[in-house]
Amino acid sequence: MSTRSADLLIVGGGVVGLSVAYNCAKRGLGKITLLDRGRIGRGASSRNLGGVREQFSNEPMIRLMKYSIDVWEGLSKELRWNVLFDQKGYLMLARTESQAEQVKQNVRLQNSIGVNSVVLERDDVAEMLPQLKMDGVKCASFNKRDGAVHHDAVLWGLERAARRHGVEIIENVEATKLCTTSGRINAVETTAGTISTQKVINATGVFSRDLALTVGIDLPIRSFRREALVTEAYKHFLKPVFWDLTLGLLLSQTLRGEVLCDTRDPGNEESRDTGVSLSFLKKLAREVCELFPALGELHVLRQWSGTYDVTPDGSPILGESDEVSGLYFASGFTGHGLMVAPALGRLYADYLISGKKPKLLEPFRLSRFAEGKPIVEPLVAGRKIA
Amino acid sequence: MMRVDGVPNVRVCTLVGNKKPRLEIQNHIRLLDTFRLTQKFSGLLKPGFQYTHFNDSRGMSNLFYGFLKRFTGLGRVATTSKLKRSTERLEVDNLVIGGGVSGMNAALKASNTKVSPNGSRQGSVLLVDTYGALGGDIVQRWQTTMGYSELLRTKIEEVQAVISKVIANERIKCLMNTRVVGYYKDENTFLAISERSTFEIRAKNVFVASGGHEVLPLFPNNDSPRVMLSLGAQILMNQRARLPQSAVVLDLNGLGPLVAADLVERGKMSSVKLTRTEGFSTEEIDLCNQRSIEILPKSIVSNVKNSGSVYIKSLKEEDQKKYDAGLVVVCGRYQPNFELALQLGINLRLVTGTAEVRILQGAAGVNAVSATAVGSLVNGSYGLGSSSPEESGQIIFDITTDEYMRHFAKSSDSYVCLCEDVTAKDMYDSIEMGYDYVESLKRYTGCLTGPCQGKQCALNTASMLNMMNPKTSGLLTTPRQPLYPLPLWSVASE
Repeated sequence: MSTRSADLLIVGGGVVGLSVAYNCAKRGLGKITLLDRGRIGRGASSRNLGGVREQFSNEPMIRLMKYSIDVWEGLSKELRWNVLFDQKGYLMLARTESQAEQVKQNVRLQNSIGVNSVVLERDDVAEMLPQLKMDGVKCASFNKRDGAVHHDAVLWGLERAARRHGVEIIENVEATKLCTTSGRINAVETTAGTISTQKVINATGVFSRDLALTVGIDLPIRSFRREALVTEAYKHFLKPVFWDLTLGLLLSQTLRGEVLCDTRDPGNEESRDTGVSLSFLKKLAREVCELFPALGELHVLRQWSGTYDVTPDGSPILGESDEVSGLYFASGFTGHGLMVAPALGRLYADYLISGKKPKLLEPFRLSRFAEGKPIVEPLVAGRKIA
Repeated sequence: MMRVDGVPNVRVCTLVGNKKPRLEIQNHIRLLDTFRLTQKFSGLLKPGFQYTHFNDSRGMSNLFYGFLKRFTGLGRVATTSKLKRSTERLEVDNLVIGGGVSGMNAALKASNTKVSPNGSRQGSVLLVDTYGALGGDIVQRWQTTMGYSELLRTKIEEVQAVISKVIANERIKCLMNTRVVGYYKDENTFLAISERSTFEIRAKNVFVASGGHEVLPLFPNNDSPRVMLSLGAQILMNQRARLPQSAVVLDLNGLGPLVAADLVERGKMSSVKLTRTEGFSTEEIDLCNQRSIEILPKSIVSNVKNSGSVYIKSLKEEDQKKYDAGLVVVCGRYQPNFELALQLGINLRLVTGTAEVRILQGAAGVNAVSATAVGSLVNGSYGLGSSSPEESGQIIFDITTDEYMRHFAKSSDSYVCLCEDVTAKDMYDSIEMGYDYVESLKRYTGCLTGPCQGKQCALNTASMLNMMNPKTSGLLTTPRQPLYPLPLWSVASE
């Protein structure tokens, strides 16, 4: 593989890398190679709960997700592969005054950008979630365009489409070093030889920082361990994705009927360990039994864990590097990589073809931290919310 | 999916036999046999068809998942029994998981080992078993038999002697009807569940002797109600259930002649036939002749009809013969319970031949726990475990393909995964399509992800992968906690 070359080299075969590869190949960007250190999608892309939402609390992210959901809606037809995007709605429950205030403020902001989220009063919440114990419930925000996808279906669909359009996918090869000449990317060293290329997309999730460090760029990305579990399949009883802002408890029933559960765990910290813990199981069980006393009989099938690539402000780092031209970032998604991936694929294809950075990506530049313009996003599952 | 004693969503394959469980088919409409109906259409529903055929998830997928799947299987969440249960925290020197011969011997050995720094104190031992009685499957199977041959009688007497020693030993405490559902590294704790209590057990040493499962081989209609695993049939006989008058015993683990004899002796069956892909020893032939069991050597079961017809094909000739039998009793290959051992980081050597499976040995240190796997599952033909670890090795899956796998790998009515209804053909096609390593195959077909978490299908899945692509053999998949479906309320107490 010593004399390989590519017009565009994408490092990281997660959902973001695949989406960018597919879109660029479709637009005829030349020879595109995608590398993964293991198998396609074996990182965070296949360990998430598949939530997709426009309900964020900052403008750039709301705009990006608004566009992304537009793409999600047509993605199955485009890929000729059903990604099982189920627009079942997404509900965020406020149980304190300050959360209620925050939720209302978010909805006002979302509405001003054209997202039709609504504030649900207590009665509406009770109607939508009959099993929920209503003690202390203030209100909730809800958006019916949000929902969930089946992450494996998305990966398979994108992988097939990418291969159809001639993307070369190399598994079990790790990019070890980025090489530059006079401030430009010219090659990437891998565990299977060097690949010469002018353009590299770093979409390696929690490993992004390591790769960027090889050219002296210190991305402010940490890995953050997250756990989840899934129950047996049941008849549908839970329509929207449910997220309690106080506890961080998140429940989502898949099309197949299983309930995906997730909560904030104090044991979660900077770690790449993918084992599971008893403390998480017990905390989650207590919270479900507290909020939904009728759901104590849900049978847990298995627990697993994965990692978030977390940035200081909770928003991703996107766009070309200021220091090394030809190096593009697509990481630091803080748990939102899957939901923005379809939009990102299209935007990067536009970006790389025209050379002009799309407006939607502009706020997410790396230099925003140095400029003191962070895009603070408190609505991150698994983190403390005021 | 069944409703057992009013609890919905139970796969009977994951259930330890109660005294008399009340079994009902879920969402069953009397006038309409939904099982048969869906089986008729199952040829149309290939794995992955919902990704390729329905491009609008709000339309057809919702119809498929939201209506058809619920109509044929899924149940409502049971309203909680609101049982207040306590969590007991136990600290022991030695934990033995499994009360079979290997586990009991390990417990005896551990109870005689000095533990404290100056070696003055002998260790406490906690033995946990899912059954209500010690002795494991051997006792469940043969305790009430009279002993058909001298050998079996002596073996049973040996087991009884070990049981009495364990009961007499004051340092060994037994926790019966309790199931260890996983090892959690974060709290260095084994979680165990009984009907009344939840246990969090910490131990300095742990011995894993949790046996294995019989696995159905592939043959057409192997999910039919007429097909039963031999352990299940014997437990039913223990409970004096009435069985049909005739049976075909299909032998893949060597216990066939004894099981056939048991069906004649205790089951009072008038006609029992025995098939095996291998030959028979003279002892076995004698055993069968004494009870007029018809032996069909070097042959396989090629089909089972719900009407009670069993088709048997000779391996030499092409023709198949039809027999009438009320029951097909399968003495299946054994799939060891390696999940817990792997969670503990034990090195295992798993050898699965056409007739036997052994966990030879393993030992490794995890946190403060030192863990050992003991015993073998099928030692010789009589299901007796050995008592001491002898060899050490890494995880090796030496999985051979049996005759049934070779014959029915492309069969669309032989089931590999009973929980998610994955047929051999589904699996074969998926591997051909490129889902050719365990993680992708599991996600695409759904095998290994059902309520049994692979206890019934891991061996066949691995054999199939191994047969089609020998490079993929190796560790199956990460065994996730909990090892058995666990109701949330059982771990919700403070």
